Amino acid sequence: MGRGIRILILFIITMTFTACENPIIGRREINDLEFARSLAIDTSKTIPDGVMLTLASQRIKIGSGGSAGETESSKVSSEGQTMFEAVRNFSTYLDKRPFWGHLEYVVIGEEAAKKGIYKYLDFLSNDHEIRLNINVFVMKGGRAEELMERAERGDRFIFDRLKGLIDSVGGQSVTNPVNLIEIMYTQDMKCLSLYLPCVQMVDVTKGGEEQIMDIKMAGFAIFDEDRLAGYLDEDMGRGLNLLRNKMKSAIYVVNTQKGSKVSLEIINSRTKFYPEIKDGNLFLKVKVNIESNIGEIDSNEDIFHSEIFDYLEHEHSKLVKQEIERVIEYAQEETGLDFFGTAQSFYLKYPIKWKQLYKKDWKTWFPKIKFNVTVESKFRRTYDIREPNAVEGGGRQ
Amino acid sequence: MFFKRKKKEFKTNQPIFREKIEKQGEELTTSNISNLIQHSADIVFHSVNIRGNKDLHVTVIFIDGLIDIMGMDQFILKPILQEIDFGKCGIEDIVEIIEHSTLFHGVQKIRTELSECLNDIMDGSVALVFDKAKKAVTFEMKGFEKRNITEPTEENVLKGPKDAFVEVLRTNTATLRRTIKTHNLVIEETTVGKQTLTKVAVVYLRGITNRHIIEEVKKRLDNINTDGVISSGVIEEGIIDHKYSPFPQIMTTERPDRFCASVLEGRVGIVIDGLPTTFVAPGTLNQFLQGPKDYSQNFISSSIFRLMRYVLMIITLLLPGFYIAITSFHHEMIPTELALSITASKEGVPFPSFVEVIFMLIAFEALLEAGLRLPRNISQAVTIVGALVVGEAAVEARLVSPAVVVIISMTAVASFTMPDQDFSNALRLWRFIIVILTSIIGLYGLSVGGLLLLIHLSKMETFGVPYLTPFVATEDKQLQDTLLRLPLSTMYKRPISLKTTNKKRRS
Repeated sequence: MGRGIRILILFIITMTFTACENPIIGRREINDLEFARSLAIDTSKTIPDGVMLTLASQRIKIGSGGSAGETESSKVSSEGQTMFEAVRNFSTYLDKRPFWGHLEYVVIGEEAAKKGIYKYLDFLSNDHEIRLNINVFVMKGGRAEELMERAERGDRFIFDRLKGLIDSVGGQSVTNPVNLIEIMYTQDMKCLSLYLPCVQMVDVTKGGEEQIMDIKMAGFAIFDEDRLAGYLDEDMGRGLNLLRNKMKSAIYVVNTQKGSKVSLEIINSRTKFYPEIKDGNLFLKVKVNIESNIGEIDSNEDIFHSEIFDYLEHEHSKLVKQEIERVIEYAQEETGLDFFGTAQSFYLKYPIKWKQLYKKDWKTWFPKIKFNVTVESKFRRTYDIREPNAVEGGGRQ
Repeated sequence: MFFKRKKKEFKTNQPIFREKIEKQGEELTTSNISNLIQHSADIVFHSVNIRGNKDLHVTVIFIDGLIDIMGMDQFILKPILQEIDFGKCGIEDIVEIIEHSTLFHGVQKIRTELSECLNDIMDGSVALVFDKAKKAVTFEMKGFEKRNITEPTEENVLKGPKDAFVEVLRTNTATLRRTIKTHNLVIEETTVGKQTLTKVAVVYLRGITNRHIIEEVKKRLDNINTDGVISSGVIEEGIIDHKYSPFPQIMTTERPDRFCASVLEGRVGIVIDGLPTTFVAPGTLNQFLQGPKDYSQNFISSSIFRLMRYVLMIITLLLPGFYIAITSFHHEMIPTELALSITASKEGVPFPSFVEVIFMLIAFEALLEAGLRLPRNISQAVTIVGALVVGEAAVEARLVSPAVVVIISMTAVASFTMPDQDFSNALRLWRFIIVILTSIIGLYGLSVGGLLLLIHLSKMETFGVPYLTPFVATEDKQLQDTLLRLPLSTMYKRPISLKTTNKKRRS
């Protein structure tokens, strides 16, 4: 036996067999933890200026013979003057220590959002267990704890619902998930305003006495610094996604001259900002290129002619332009908040000029920018419907 | 391992039989021989007179059971005693006549030294001792019972030869000669073991195998100072470089085709009398992950199996440690659903994961040992009891969680895929080290354990060849036959690390 081995054995013994205290720092068995999966942040009801947290966690009940049985979820609320205190206060109500490593969704109540969200974000971004890719939502028109308590249906838990909504968000592009790290990034960019996706409770009761609630994605919430300033509805949300180049797919319905509805499926969209500073005035040309498929025609009109296509493309561009201009109007006139990143595009083109002249009071400059939106729509594919059904000589015989 | 090993000065011992000569130095006579070996019951001394002539006195000495008595009677005793007319020759002349092929026998030797004659007798020869001439003639007449060549028991292969090595050295060397017919195949013999005097053959190809490796193997074999070669470990431990490493440093095989393939590569083979297993030196890590069927299968499928074997090696080494790390330290490393189901399965189990894993590992090792020790028909009962007790009852009694059972069985199954048993045992040992390290500091311990293992492996050198070749080769990377098994046509060079005299396989 060499000296090294003896030292090693002594080392292991002293590390592992030290009296009755848990000798190994940082070891926590997995079954002593409560996995917090979503968290609701609200203003406190009892403590003035305090925080109320609601945690939803999941547990799998063991059936007979060690087999995994049903899953059940539980919700616990705790209050405190600050986030950290409220988090620690959870231990009063939980029999296990809450573990934040699996936290996926944070929902902020409307009231809390109006009072400012920075005081919540500090804990979320500082705590070592919480990941920076958690999704943050704003609860539109209500307290977030209600969402945790009431929006569950049957075996679908609140985080499964939120996950499902996030996963399918690209199909409509009415909103877009925002990560904690993106929020932190926006916080650092002084000229950029924060926007967060919204969730809303919907009543889906079908008769019966018990009220059944569900949730849906409802556009964006716009923040002035850290305070909630207003909401964008679904259509404007789509416009914002176009401006931020985050459009994945969406369905636009356009009417032909004869009145049939044509559904267009967006397959690709590209937005470019062309900023210009002329005689101290700011101009911003927004160029949107949209490619779409013809997904559906709701009548037997034969639209596969270049004139009709031109018309449809023109109509589509008009629709998109309208949406975008509504967002710009809202930003410039109603709130004066630059939440789609114009400041950055000016900075990238005129770094020195922008920093010297405009950076300081960007809030006053932003409403004065002259926007010029051009939308170019192109139809790429028409699927298998060469001609709609019931057209003489067309379609599949 | 973690500390420096004292460098041993090898004393070059003289080969064993020479020691005896110096000690004895006596004349070769019947009485001297009988002084040495007369106490054994199986040694036969038989005095006869050639053609009844009392002056021509000769003693026949042999060991009963080792020689073919019928052959001795017919080809040695009968001609000497009856058929050949020696006329008026003296004893010296008779020895000379016998030496010059009067008798029909291939292997006959004239011995003038006592110890040489003794060795021949012990090895299965018949000795005719002529007292007056102080000379003996020995005839090799081995006729003992031996096992037939059977199918290999440990390394089975679907396509390929079905023969295996047997205990008799000469049969094994004959098998080798039959496979490699070139005259360049050299089979040198030496003797190891003071008492057993076991013959050990060193096999190599002249003009191909590196001279220094051959010399080193021979030197180390001569330096083995031991009483006897009963188990293969005597030779193996005697010639490897790093005795304190659990990893095998020379390849063990019972298949002549694998042995010959290694010799053709430029390695040195060692065949031991009395053992059906042979050694090939130097052994490198990639050899222990090559299955015997790799070269008889389609290269695409065997490449995939080979790659999977490397993955399984990592699984069998790290999986229990990884499980401890994620259940005790890094709960955020796994998907939430998995974490929840592990939590559910651990509900009600009083022990931490580390204890569970160690408990299951020990149970598994115990089952493995029990299965090896017991006779075949009882060992089936052990598996049933083991599967029931460890698998079912322990989970039912909430001693271990079902997740641990799954982890340990995956580890066990993965370890069974290792082609080499010694290598698998080394991994078993390191698995424990990693489990202990991980239970102290989590994934950090896992990586420390992995690093220690890597440091240990990369420090090793066997017969001047780095253990991790060709992964760490500084020269041309020769990776055709490592993680993948590329077509044989791409392997047109012998392993560069072996520094063979003839570098190309095809001339």
